[in-house]
Amino acid sequence: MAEKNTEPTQGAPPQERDEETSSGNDVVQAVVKAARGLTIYPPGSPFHERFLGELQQKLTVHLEEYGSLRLDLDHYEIRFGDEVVYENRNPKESLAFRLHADGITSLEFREGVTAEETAAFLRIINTRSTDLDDDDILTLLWSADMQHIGYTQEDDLDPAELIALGAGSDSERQESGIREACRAELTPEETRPLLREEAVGIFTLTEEERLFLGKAIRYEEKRDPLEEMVVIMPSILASTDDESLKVELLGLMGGIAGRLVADGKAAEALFLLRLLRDHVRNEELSESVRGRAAAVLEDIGSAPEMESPRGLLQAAGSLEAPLLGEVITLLGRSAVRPFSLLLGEELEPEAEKSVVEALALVGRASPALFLPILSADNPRRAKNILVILRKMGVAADRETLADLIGGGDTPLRKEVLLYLDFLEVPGTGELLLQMLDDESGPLRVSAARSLARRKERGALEGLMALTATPGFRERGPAERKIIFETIGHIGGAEALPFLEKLILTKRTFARKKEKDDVAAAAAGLVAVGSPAAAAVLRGAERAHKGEAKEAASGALARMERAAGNEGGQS
Amino acid sequence: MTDGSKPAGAHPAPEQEAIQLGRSLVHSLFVLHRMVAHYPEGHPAVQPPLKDMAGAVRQVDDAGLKPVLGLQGEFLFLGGQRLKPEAGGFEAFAQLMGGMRKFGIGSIAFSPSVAERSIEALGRVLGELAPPDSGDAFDHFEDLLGGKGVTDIRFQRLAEEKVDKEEDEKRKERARAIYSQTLHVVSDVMDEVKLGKSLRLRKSKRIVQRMVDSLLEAETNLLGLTTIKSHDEYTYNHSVNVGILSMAIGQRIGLSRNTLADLGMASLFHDIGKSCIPLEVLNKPAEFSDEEWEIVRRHPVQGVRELLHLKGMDALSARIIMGAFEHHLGYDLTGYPDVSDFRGQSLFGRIICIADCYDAMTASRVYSRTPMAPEKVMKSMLERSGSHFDPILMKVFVNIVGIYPQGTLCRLDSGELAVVIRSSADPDNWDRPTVKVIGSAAGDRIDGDTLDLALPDTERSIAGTLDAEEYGIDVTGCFA
Repeated sequence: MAEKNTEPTQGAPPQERDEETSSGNDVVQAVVKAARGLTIYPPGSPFHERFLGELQQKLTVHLEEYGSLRLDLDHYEIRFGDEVVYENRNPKESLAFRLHADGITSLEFREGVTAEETAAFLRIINTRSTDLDDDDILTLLWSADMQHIGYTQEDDLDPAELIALGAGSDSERQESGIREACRAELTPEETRPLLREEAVGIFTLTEEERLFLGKAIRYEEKRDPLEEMVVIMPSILASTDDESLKVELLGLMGGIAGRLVADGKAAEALFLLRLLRDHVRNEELSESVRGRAAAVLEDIGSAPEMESPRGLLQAAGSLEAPLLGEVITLLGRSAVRPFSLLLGEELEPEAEKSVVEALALVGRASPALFLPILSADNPRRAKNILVILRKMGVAADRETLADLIGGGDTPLRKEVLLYLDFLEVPGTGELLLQMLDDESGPLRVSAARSLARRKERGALEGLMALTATPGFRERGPAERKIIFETIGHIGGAEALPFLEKLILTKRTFARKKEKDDVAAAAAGLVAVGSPAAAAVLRGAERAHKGEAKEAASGALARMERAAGNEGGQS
Repeated sequence: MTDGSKPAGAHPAPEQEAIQLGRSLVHSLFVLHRMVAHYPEGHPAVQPPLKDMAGAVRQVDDAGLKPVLGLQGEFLFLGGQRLKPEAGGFEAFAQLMGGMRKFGIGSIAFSPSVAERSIEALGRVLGELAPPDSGDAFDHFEDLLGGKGVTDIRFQRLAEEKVDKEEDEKRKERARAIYSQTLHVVSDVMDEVKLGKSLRLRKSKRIVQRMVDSLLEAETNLLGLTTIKSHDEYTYNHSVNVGILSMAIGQRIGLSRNTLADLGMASLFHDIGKSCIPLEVLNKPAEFSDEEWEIVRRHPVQGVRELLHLKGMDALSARIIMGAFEHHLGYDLTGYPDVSDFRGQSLFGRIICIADCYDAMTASRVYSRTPMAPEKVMKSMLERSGSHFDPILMKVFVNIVGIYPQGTLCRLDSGELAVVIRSSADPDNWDRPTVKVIGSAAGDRIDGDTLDLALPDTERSIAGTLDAEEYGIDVTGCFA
């Protein structure tokens, strides 16, 4: 940034000139600061508003005082009058260079400039286009059509490129032609004015036509050309009999469909996907066309742009759940990875369910595709993948599941439990045992019940060890009871010594503890349900007094009732 | 240097309001003009448009604007605000401008409480009466209205338009430069397509934006250049001509500046698929064989393929693709490619279809392989209005090129030979275009005057039209 005092311009008193230059310089500094700030701070940052506010304020003050602000641009400099008010010779950073490189030679701000115009101006001058972009700063400024911010552009109409216009006619031919034409007799057709009687009708638009035209224009200006393009694609494909052209167009359509999905335009993408599917199914088409359509469909999901969660998220939000499912189904196995990744994002429940169901359907042929994505890093995604695996009946490995139990959140661990209940995974007992230490009580209870149902004998030792852990007694009586019932279910006669020892232990100075132990062990003995277990309960009834005795008696009665019921039923 | 800026001082919202109110005023006057042409003074049918007109004047006043309609060059102004016609509204503008020019009126200032009888008198005098053969048209006009007791509408004489010849020539030169540059751009893009290179359309976009600016400034300069029909570079010339004609239609129907630029891009590259046609077919001097026709008829779909392949799919590509695919379909879809179950041509497709057909038929190297005189082309196209061409847009198109389109060779009733260089803006003077005299009555080639046949003191009219091609006369010299 360079600021210099210059000689005053002609006609302006020196002091006034200096003040104006100084004010102009302030504006340019504010432009530079705001332009830089907008690139440094993310959108929505309060700094954006601050920089914009400062610039707007400086501009307004200047324009109210002087009416306009014209800045001339050179490769590296911005000048106000003769004064260089900005200089930066680094092409990568220089605002002047960026503007001048796109052909802008001056900028003019006029009184009345709005905050919206200023913000739009800053957005545009921060544009860094590549050679492949259709727009640069110049075309964007033109399109923005700002009332109070003008510019001049370099005249790049190269005279060397001017070509002689017109077919030309040699002078002699021209002269003889004119002579002939002047003398020629005009035929009646040549002298009769065209359509004179209908002239008014030809020129005049009726009110109805004006309205119709207005409507057509409004539609044209509002519509999304991309959407429209997708709608006419079937007609384009149907309009050619050239097979190689059709095949090529199908390939191009696949690319478009992928881009549309990735850009969140799922409805349009679905339209193209259905079209491709129809080509696959249409038996009137040649094998090569059908095969190409199938291959294109198969490849769409593998495109790199499909890994963009933002686009897919938008796509998922823009379609009704069943249609979203249809997109996935049409994309087939190539949808597995991108949409599995999407399941880690927050989706509407209906959409999430739809994606899960569709993936379970299309992934059945290649379940291994899901396994690398199954990780506790994203519990939401892992939970959804487990649901898919469960629906497909595919077993994940024990280590992964152990990681999920260890690192996942409660809903994920709950899903692991559900998953283990449904599938035969080697080492399930160990995993369920692991879950008996879960921080969630209900989950621990469910894991215990699952062990009981499965009669996981390998878990008996672990279960019994669990009851001896320091924290076990802190768990509620209901949970403790369930653990002992599980021990009884799984262990049967093998568990009797353990239960007998516990139920016969007397605690003279800890009656409450004694009663709790009796109740817990009694639950285990009821679960064993054998005559030997009943004998142990009777022994306990005799050995204890008070509440402990009542607990043993109650259990014995339950056992006898159960045996009576069984006998009655049989 | 091109100034992409606008005059200072106006704020967007009031500007839009002024334009709307101005349009409303012009439209009311137009409706009144039509009604008084059919009904006598005091007829009840004239009352509603009179009330509308008085209401429109009051609305302008209520908005804090002066109800003064001014004429300057080719534009109407409300106060200082230049008015741009909306969809199909150009006719009303043209009619009012024609009437004002006829009587040499520079501005019409309405009193906010203008009486309906004054408005009726204005409508009748402006619309029905011809200026006197001799004497001052403006004085005559004022006398007539004064005689009818009109005191609440004031008029100012049209200042003699300072024909800044230098400025005018600069504009023309600029238009020629834009035309020429556009030819280069189209040719570069077509070459890139032939070579299978990725399409970069920034340069095209820039030149189209300049075309839009030029058309908005003075439509005639670029339009005149569409009479250029190169034999060697037909496709490029044709593309540029179709671009200009399409944008002129777009401008007349009131498309926004940005949509106009989109239309420019779509129309400029409507024939991009022709880059796939072998040159020996494309430049064949004789009629096409059936097989060659088949190749030519593929170019709309080839265009789609090239664009998808080389440009990918974005909003701009989509617009160009639609133009490329639809421009031969026809309004009734009886053209090519064969489509079934199509939703109909888009607005862009309908516009490009008209521009493409007009330029192709007036050129010498396509379709019929022999050029047709512009007015004959126009007649042929009008016969297909409503079938192959959108009838509403055809009306707009006729308003632009006229019944005697630019480039038409005509003999005047004075015996002079002239070329139409501008159609009359006033639909009432549809058969009185502006012409450039190129031959004397004696048959000598001359660099004659430019005559506005709609002006009473010109005292000449068209006696008949001739086919310039038949006589080997190159009319493009009047434009290029």
